[in-house]
Amino acid sequence: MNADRLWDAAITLGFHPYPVSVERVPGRVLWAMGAEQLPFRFAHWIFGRDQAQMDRDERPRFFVLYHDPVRLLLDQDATPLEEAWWLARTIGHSDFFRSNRLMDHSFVDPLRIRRAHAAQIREWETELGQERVSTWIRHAWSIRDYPELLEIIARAGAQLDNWERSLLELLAAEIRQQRPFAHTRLVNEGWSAYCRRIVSREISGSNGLEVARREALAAARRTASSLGAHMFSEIHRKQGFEHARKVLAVSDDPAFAQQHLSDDLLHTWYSAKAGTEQAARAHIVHQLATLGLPRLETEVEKNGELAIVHLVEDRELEPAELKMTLTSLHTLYRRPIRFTTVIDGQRVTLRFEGGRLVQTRYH
Amino acid sequence: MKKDWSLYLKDTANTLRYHAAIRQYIASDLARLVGRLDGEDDRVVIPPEADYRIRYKTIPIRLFDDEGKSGSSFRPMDDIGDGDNRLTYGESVGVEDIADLLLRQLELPELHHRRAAAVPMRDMAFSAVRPAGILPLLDKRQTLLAAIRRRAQSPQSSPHIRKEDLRFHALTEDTSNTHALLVAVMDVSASMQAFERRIARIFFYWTRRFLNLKYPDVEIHYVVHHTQAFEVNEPEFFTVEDDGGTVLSQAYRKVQDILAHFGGADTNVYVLHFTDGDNRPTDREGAKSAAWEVGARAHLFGYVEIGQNPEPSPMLEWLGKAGPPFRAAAVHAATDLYPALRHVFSRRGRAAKAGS
Repeated sequence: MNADRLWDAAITLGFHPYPVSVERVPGRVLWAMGAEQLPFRFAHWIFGRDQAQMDRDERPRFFVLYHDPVRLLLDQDATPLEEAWWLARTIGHSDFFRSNRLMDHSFVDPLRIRRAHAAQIREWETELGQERVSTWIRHAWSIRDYPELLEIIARAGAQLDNWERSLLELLAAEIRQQRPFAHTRLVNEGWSAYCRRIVSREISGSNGLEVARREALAAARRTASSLGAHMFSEIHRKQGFEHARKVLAVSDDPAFAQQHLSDDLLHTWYSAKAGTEQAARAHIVHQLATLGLPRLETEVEKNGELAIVHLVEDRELEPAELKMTLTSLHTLYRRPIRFTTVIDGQRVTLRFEGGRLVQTRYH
Repeated sequence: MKKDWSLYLKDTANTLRYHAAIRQYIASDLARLVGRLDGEDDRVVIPPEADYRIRYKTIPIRLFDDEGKSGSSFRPMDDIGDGDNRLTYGESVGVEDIADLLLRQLELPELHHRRAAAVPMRDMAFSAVRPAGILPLLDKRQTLLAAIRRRAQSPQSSPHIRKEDLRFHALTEDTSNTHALLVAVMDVSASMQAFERRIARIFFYWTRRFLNLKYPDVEIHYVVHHTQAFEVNEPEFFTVEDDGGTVLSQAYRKVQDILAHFGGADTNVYVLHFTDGDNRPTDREGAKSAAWEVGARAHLFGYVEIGQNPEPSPMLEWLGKAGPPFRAAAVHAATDLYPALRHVFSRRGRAAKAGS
C-alpha cells in the first residue's frame, strides 16, 4: 500500500472526497489536540488533565481537520505504511464530510473561529486574572453537554459581566459546531474504515500481508468504525455501492442504525437473542440519538427562576455529581434554580438559591 | 510553504496549568498529606469537583469499545463508556511536591538573635588580598606596603610603584565557626504505639528535610528515651523500636550532656521533643526542672505531645504556659501534624495551641 496510488484508487472506486492535504506534525501537537478535542482551542487546566490521562493510555498519532481541503495531521515519526494507512481512512472521512447532509458547508473555518476564541480568552485572562476566568470556565465545563443551557444562562442569567456572558456563548458555539460530528460518528467512522478496507484491498503491494493483518485486527475490534464498516459492507453487498453512498449522504447515527443495523450484526455484536432484536435495536438507536446524555427540559419562568426537568426514562442520575453540577449551574446563573428528577425511586425537586441547595422536596 | 508547528506546541502550557491546579489542591489538602506521607499512599486524587456533569448512575451496555484515541476528529463519548461511569482522575503527588509547599512555610525562630555571631550563615566578604584583580578593587594601603617591602629588600630597584606591587581586594567566603545545634528527642517507650511512632517519625522526617533545605549547617543530634536516654545516629533514630516506661528528666539530662559537650557559648540551640507525655508520676517535678534548665540554654524548645487523650498532660499544660523558648503542641491525629509543624517552626510561634 503506498500513499501515491491511494488517491487514484479511491477515485476509481467511486469515492468523492475533498482533496486531502497531509501535514507532518510534532507528536506533542497532536497530543495536546487530542486532549483539547478541538484543535487550537483556548487553554485550560482541564486539558492538561486529559493530556495526562492520554499519556497513560495512548497518545494520538493523527488528527483530521474537516475543511476544504481536509487536513490530515500526521505524527512526524509515522512510517510510510502508517501514513498510507491513515490517509486511506482520511479519504473516507473527507468523502463523508463532502457527502453527508448534516455537515456544515458554509466554509467558515472553524479553526479560525477557535483561534479567535482562544485569543479573546487570553485577553480576558490578562485583564481579569487567569484564576477568575479559569474558574468560570470550570463551572461552565460541567454543563458542556447542554449548549442550550449555556445559552439560556448567557441570555437570562443575573448580573453577568459582559465577558462572562460572552464566554458562555463562545463555549456553546464551539460545542454546537461539534455536535453534527457527534451525531454522525458511526456513519463517519464506519465509512472511513470501509473506504480504507476496499481501497487497501485494491492496491496490495509489497506490504500486503502487513496491511491485511492490520485490517483483520481493526475489523475484530468492537469499535464504532468497525461496526459502521460492517454495516456499509452489508449495504454494498446487498444493494450496491451507489446505494451505500446514498445512505452516507442522508443518514445520521440513529437513522443509520435504525435502518441498517441488521439482525445478524445484532447477534454477533451485541449477542442479541432471537426475538429481542427489535428491542436491542431500539435501545441502541435511543442511545445514539441522545448521545447517551440524560434528557433535560428547561424553562425560564417569569420571575427569572430556571426550571429544569429531567425527563426520566428508567435510569436515575448520579446524585453527588448532579448536586455539584447544579451548584456550578447556580453559580453561573445567579438566580434560583429548580431541578426535578428521581432519586432512589422518589420524585424530587432540588431548589438552589443564594448559592446553595435550600430545599429538597419529595413529591 | 512549510508550516512551523513549533508555534503550536500547547502541551507544555496545558500541563503547567494542570500542575498549578494540582498544587492548589495540595495546598488545600496539606494537613492531610503531611501526616500521611510515609510511602503508603502518596497520591492525591483530584476531587470530583474537577470533573462532574449530569450523567446516569449506571450504564447498562456499551455500544463500542472506545477507539477515537488514535486520532480522528474527536474522542469517544465516554458516556458510552464503561459500566462504572465515574472517572476518577488521580495524580501522583510525590514527597517533593508536598515538601516544596510545606517547607517554604517553616522557619527557625530567633535567627537574628541579639548575639549576632550566633547566626550559622555563610557570608561573603572582601577580606583577602591578592596580586591580581580589577582596578576598582585596588587595595592602596597594601600596594604601598608591598612597594616599601620591595624597596627594603633591593634598595637599587625603582622607587615607583610597579606592576608587581599592586594588591587587590579579593572576595572570600567567610565561614564563621559559630554554629547551630538541634537535638531531636523521641520517646520510644512502650506507650508509644505503632501509630504514635509513625507520626513521630514523620514529624522528624519533615524537620530534617526542612533543616537540610534551609539551614544545612545545623548540626543534628538524635536522642531516644524511655526510662533511660541514649544518643543514636540518624538511621537508628528513624528505625529504633524499644520498650519500657517513660522518665522525661532522663531525656533532658541527656540533652544537657550533649549541649555541654557540643554547644559553645554562641551556639544556637534548638530542642525538639516528641512524646506521648505519659511520664512517670514521681518524675513530674524532676522533669519540669530539667526542662527548665534545658530551656535556659535553648533558643527553641519544641514539645509535641501525641495522644488520643483530649486532656493534656501536666507537662504539656505547664510548657504551654511557660513562654519562650518553649513551644508546645498537641497532636491527636495525623492531620494535626501540619499545624504542629507550623507552630513549632515559625518565627514567633503561631497563636494559640496547634492541633485539636
